[in-house]
Amino acid sequence: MFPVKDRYDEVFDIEIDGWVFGLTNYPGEVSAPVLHRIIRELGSSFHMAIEHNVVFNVLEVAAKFSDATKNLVHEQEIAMAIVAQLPNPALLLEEQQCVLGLVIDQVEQAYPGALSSFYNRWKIGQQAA
Amino acid sequence: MATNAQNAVQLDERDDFQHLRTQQLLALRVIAPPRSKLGALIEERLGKLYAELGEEIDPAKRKANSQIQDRTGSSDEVPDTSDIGNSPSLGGATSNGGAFAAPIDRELDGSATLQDRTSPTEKKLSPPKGVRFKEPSQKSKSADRNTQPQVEVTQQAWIWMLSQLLQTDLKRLGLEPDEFNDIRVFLIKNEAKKYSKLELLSKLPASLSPEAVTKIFEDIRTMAAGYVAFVTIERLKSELENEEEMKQMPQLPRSISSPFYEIPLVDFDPEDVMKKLSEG
Repeated sequence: MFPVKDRYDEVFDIEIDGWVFGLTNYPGEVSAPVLHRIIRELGSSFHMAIEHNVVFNVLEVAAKFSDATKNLVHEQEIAMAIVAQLPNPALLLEEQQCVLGLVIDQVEQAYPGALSSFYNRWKIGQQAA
Repeated sequence: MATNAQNAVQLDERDDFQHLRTQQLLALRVIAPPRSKLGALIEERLGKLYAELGEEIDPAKRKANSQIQDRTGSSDEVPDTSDIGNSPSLGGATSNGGAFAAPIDRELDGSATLQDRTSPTEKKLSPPKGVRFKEPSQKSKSADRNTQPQVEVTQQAWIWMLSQLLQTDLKRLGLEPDEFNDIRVFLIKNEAKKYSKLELLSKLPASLSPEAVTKIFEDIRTMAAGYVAFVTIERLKSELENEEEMKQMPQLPRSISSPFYEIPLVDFDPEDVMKKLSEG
């Protein structure tokens, strides 16, 4: 296991908890587009987490968000949305690739096939680049 | 013999599955904007499927398929799906046994029907469960196809099928969930357009408008930022109160006088100073 840099795990947890707090305390219903917007906003945090060797639990984050939206958005949809925001492994250093692998492995265990679907996406992204 | 029969059944099932997948992808291609990321994904997947089927789609078929797509309209318009539901290219296996062996001209003139979709073993491919394709009568097929009620039923079934396909294809195509959501909104908007023509629905639900989404997002972000600020301050306070953390703090320059050094008190009356000033 690689050591976490700059205690970024704490920063990441606070940020996730912040969004969960906002979602929980929002008086109205939170629809899927809003949640997807939030996850897109969190994209840079996911990148930073990987760069700082933080192996965050995607399923746990997805469950928190799903609970916060009163289960209006399914955990699997959220988990897939989070994985979609993860960086292309081809653009990462070897150490960060290992961290990314550990992060995605949790999702792959819960939802088999997640990796292959996003692998295609990354491949296409690479070709386009 | 039994093994051969089993193999034949398995091959039939595999072919049926591949035909179904191809139908789904062709259906998706109808709504995918040309030269989009989704369109590229679908084309790639279709190419693989054709390769698996041992057939190569020739340029003529590609052209014909693109003509079909052009006839159904661009992504910004409501696709005219009146003859899509009846097209064997979107319908499945053909009587010739090949995956897409149905003549293209039959696809283009829409003369082929669901009844043509029989495999060599006379197995009929039915549309997905819950979909009711209204089959035109044999006598006045082309006339019935143009009548409004049939178009409505076919379009509803078509859109229902698309939404189902999109859900199942989410993983396989590597679609991002928000892209999937965009397509879902697109389908809903198309449905809404249809009803707005009938003046039954004059506007879209507020939750679908980008402004509403942005407003909710901003509100939640404000609360999240407030929470982060609060928690960060609390955590800093607790860290500062912790003696061990204090030791780890960088050594700041200290004042010369120690708080433990006793400074003798001096008797002093400011009035004396003021008197001296007035006298002198």
